[in-house]
Amino acid sequence: MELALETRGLRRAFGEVMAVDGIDLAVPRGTLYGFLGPNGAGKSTTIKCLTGLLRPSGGSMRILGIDLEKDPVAVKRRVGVVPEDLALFDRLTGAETLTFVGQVHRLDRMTIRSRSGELLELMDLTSVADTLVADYSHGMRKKLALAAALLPGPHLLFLDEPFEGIDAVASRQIKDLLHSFVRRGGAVFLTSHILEIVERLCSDVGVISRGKLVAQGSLESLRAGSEDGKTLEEIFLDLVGARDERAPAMEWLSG
Amino acid sequence: MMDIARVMIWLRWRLLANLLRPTRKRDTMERASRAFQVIGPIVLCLILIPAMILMGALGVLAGWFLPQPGDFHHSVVIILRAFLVFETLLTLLAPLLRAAQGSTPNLTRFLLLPIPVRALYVTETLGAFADPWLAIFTSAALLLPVGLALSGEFASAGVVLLAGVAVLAWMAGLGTLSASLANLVFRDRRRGELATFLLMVSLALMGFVPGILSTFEPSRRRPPDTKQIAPRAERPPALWEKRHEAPGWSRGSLPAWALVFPPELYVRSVAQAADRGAAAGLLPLGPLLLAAAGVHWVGARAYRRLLETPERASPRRRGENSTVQWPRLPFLEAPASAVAVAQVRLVFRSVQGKIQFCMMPLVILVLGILWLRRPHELAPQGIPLPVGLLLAAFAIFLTLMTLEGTLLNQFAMDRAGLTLEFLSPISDRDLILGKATASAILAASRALPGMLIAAAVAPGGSLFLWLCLPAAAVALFAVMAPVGAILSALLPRSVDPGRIGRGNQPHPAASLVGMLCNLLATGPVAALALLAVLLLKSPPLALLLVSAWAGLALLISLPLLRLAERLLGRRRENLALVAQGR
Repeated sequence: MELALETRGLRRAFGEVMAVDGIDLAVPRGTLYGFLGPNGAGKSTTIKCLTGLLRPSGGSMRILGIDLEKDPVAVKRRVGVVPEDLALFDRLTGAETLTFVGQVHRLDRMTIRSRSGELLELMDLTSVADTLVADYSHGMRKKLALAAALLPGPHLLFLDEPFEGIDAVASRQIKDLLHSFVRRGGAVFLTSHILEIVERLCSDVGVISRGKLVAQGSLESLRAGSEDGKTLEEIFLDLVGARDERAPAMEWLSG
Repeated sequence: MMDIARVMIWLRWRLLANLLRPTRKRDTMERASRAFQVIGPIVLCLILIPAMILMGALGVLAGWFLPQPGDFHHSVVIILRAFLVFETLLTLLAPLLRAAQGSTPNLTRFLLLPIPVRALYVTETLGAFADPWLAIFTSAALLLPVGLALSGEFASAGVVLLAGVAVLAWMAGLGTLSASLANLVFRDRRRGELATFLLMVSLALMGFVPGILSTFEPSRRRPPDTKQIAPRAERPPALWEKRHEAPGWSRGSLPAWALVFPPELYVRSVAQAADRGAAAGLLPLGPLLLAAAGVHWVGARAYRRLLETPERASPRRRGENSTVQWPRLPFLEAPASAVAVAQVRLVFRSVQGKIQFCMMPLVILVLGILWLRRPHELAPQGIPLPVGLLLAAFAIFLTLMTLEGTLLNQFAMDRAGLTLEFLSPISDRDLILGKATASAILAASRALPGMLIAAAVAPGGSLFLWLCLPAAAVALFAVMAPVGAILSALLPRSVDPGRIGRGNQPHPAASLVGMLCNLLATGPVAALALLAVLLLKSPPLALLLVSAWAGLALLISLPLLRLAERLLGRRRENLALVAQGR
């Protein structure tokens, strides 16, 4: 099985706090991999390490067969990222943002032009292509960030909460697009807090809790390892040790 | 109301104190850098307390001397008038400049809490007393009656205290009104940027006008025909003139509007109470109280409007041009070229970039006009160089100074865009080269028009000396480009390109070091040129020496660029954090 992403003992510490504590990820090509975890579990830190924004404290990372630490530029040529904060220039227009991304990926003008047109059309951003990103709504920014990630034709996509703030129509189109991307051999590594989305969209799942990878594998294998009929949410709660945690009564909250 | 005021004071205090709290995601360098940035406010606080004590003491002294016979009242009143005009201007302009600098309050959180609008307005108005100029006036205005009371004028002291409270209330209300109106204008990005641009250009033009007017020689003005002017007949003053006749301390008449100007009403109340007794001081107090009530009535409505109207952006400009033609810059790899083009566009779209682009030719033009009108007075003494050449050299120096905002904070100024650059396949070298190229393009776009205007206004001088200028520019830039990159990597600062002033300035320590480096880089170039021209009297030699120095500077820049590249690689994590304002 050819892996799109592989880490060995990946660690990242902030002072004395170990945010990511020796995780071994394995994401095969042609999969939609959902990376789950409670708040503060280390999801964002992991994704930042995998995209080269944070330097790991230890361990190794191979993305599409290339050592990220040895040749980060080569890795970045092959991956697309929609980070948590979207990472867009406020004072470039939507079209200029795509042109910038195309040029740094050394695409020729015709390719940039045709791909930009198609992506803006898909994201329903054509009418605001000449508008500064500063004037975009959150949803529009998210769609533009996704368009920018897709433009270079990556082999691996990192998407941090890709469906947050996106309308139902665009969400459906993006899901279709991701499925077709994966069918063609691409891999998607996404984080989401909405377990239903992960359950319906992803073929493989990794669960991180307190910096450690507590489960990894296909959805079927996770379900097979648990009691019959459990939903992903129940499996997830079991894995992160929150199964028996209930909200306190708070009788003063009488409504 | 008091509970809310207490909570608001606590909130301000915590926000200030938490600036110094270390966060685990910042490295030591970043913590030191943030500590350096809060030194300014701390020093200001330390200066403010003794200043308030001093002003309070002066207030007591003034109050003590006011009722005494002699000429002292006159001086007190003149000082008080000038001080209050200055105070009023600051109270009016400071909120405008603050809004232009991007420090607009985020009121959404407060609106979601159960705080009455009236309480918010009172808190906002009380907050105005934290402004240094109002704080020091408060201590003087409240302690002036103490001086009067000490001199035995108890009734007058009471009136002056009332007048002081009224004028302070008027000023605080004026500040809140001005801030509310400014925030209503600046809450929309495009409208705010346009207002900032107009405000800054107007202020700059207002600075130039006196200089230009002063060049008109008085002899050129048409002298009045004294023979035809009939001597003004002496006439007895009218009854109303008598009523407003100034007492002995107020020599010279004031325009009619000044009589309803609240600070002037305060001055009159103080002076009349001290001069003629408490009853006389009460006369201006009535209109002063009315003015204070009026400004709060309007201010409260403006504040309510600010809270109740949604933050609405200007309608988006629609356009379907989904592809953009970006030039590919020669001698650069595609990623470096894209970085350079993006940077140039970002700077030209920022308010500061637009202002600097427009102001540079204007400054040189005004200096040129001043020289043309008074060539003998403004010609530099002891430097036998043509004025046009000196003006052009000044344009280069000024360009490097104005480029500071871009050059010394070249990474963090991209804000979230920096993360996009870090996520893209751009090597550290391409990023450094792209930024340096962008700075060079920006420098040329500012210096060239200035140099051309200088040449047009005051042509002449050796061609060799004119050719020295581009060589000198290359020499300076070759040193400053890597220095800028190093300082930008070491001392990043989160900025808002839509604003001016502190909100868009590089880190203070970077500015300081950058300015020193700029002066150090200028030194050898100027020394070589002056040596060749003044001592050896050879313009061609000047060109040769400056060109040789430019070559040497380019050689020096290579290891410096490599150092900047290494630093950028090491500081990526913190740069991305700072750029996003975290």
